[in-house]
Amino acid sequence: MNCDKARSYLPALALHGPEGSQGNQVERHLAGCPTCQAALEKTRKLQSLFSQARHQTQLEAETEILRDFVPEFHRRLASEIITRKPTIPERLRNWLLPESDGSQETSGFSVFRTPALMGFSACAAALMLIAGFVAFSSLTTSNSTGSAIVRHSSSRELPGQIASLHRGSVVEVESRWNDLVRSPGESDSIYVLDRVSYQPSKSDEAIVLQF
Amino acid sequence: MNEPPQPEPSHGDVHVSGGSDLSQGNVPETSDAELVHRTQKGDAAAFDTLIERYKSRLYGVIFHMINNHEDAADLSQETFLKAFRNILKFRKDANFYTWLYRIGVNTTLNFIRKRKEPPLSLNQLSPETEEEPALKELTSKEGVTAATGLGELREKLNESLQKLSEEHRMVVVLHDIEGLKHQEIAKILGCTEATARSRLYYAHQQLQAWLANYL
Repeated sequence: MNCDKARSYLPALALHGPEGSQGNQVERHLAGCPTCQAALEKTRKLQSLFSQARHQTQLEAETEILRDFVPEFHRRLASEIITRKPTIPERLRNWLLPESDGSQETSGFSVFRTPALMGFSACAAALMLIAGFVAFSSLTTSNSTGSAIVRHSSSRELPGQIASLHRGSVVEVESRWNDLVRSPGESDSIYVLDRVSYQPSKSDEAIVLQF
Repeated sequence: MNEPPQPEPSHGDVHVSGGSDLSQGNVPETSDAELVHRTQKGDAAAFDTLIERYKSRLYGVIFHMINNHEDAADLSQETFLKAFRNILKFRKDANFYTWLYRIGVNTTLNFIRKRKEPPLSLNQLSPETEEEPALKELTSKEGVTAATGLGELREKLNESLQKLSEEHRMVVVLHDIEGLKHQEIAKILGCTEATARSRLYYAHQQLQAWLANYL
């Protein structure tokens, strides 16, 4: 084993001791190489500095920064918004009816605006407009399903009450949930519901239920 | 990288190896695997115990990567939220802390890459760079003389760390500060043990040059 290879093992050797056959080879090399012995000593000193820094950081963190870490975690969890992905009809609608400031060709139709394909693009555009109209119409009459996090004070009454307590576009919530979070010392519970039916609107990219 | 990775199988399931102390006061002696299982069944208090067990270590890793207390606390919260959201995907044969650290590492690296001022890479160092006033001050005799307190020394260590590329810095933090072995680091970072060892070697060379007056 040469010096370069031996030195690549020094940080692990200094911290964890010799390990495996490679560790033994490094030790044999060190026994006859004063230069690498000096490098090992420097490595140990560097790691000692890091060890001091680590203890100082942990001490500060425990006494100050992380003191209210768990309550803060519960607060964030309770206020979290689960964002849903646009459905296929919505993607189609957004592609067909994009919002543009008029300064650039951002429409999906721009690819058809070449002389050779003008006739074809006109037909295709008509067909896609019809398809888009159908998709857009379907969105106004059908519900989508997503996830939501809700907070409530009584787990037993939740399924029955949720329909009357909903807000915004939420029209129905099934009585299923896959996680239950109860903060220590709090009477409220947080439910992660996995099926929430609601009517999507154009700007509706997220749903939140807060009682 | 928004989706937390699936953990790889591991032989252990409870404690982090290395020289670090896991005990956090009144943390019960329940294994990580048992706490994860209870969380998956809906016992939120079990996840609270996991948070208490690892918050300090996770925070330490992130802080030494970004050198900012507020951002480190925020990213630690984000990491635990991601872990909680995906706890049902966690496999029984996996190692929780490896999984958690991997989420934390990815979250932190994403944060760093979104920042406007990227850290200097080891490969980008040049003779001109080494003439930087901040770096010269860091390694100067005057700097050594002035750095009598532990706080100042830690500040200089952090300054040096921040000059490493994020890949090299992460290996230093996980190995030298967190006490993890190359095998564990490789799992967390998704690289080979040889890569982790090589990065640590070159990072040490650079750090020893910058901190020569302390060694």
